[in-house]
Amino acid sequence: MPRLVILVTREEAEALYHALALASGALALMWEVHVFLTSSAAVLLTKEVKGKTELSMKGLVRWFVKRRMKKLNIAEVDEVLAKVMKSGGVFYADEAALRLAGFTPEDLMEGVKLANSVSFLNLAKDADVVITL
Amino acid sequence: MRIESKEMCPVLLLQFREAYERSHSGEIIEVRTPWAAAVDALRELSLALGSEFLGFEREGEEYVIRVRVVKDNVKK
Repeated sequence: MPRLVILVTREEAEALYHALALASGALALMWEVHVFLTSSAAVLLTKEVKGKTELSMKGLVRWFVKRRMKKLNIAEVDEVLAKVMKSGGVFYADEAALRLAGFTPEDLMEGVKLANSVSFLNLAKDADVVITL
Repeated sequence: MRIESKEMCPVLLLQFREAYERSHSGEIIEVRTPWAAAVDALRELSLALGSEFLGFEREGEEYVIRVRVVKDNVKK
């Protein structure tokens, strides 16, 4: 089974949404999917945040884009995250980034694994596709 | 098996995966969506999964796409 590994380093909705879109495509192709969240993105996998994140754009532009997304039935990032997890995507949070933000491994959403550079490199080494966002 | 979805590509693809997993070989999955890009996505997905893309038609604002599931031919 082909393997997709994605590394997300930014907490903006755009980065996680792109990761989830690619993960969804890979899962539909019956690929193995591993998504690593590190740096400021790691907190998105905590029970407190649960993938709820904002677009990087501000003010009126953000309001307009969110309104268009709703009108076009584009799902919220946290909803897509839950669906990708349910469909078998494996998610990892970098422990150092998590602790830097004041969270502990116990704060992670159910099923999320702890990761470090070695776990990422080992999975990426044998992956068919590796993407960083 | 029928999928009626107004949701865009990531969610629609996951809905297709779920339907594909639940279906038996020979069964037809019918997808109704307003998203034109779903036609090519499901055509390519069918090819990759070894299933048969039966085609699509327009019904008003919707695309009706049909795929015949072939499970003993999955490309690994």
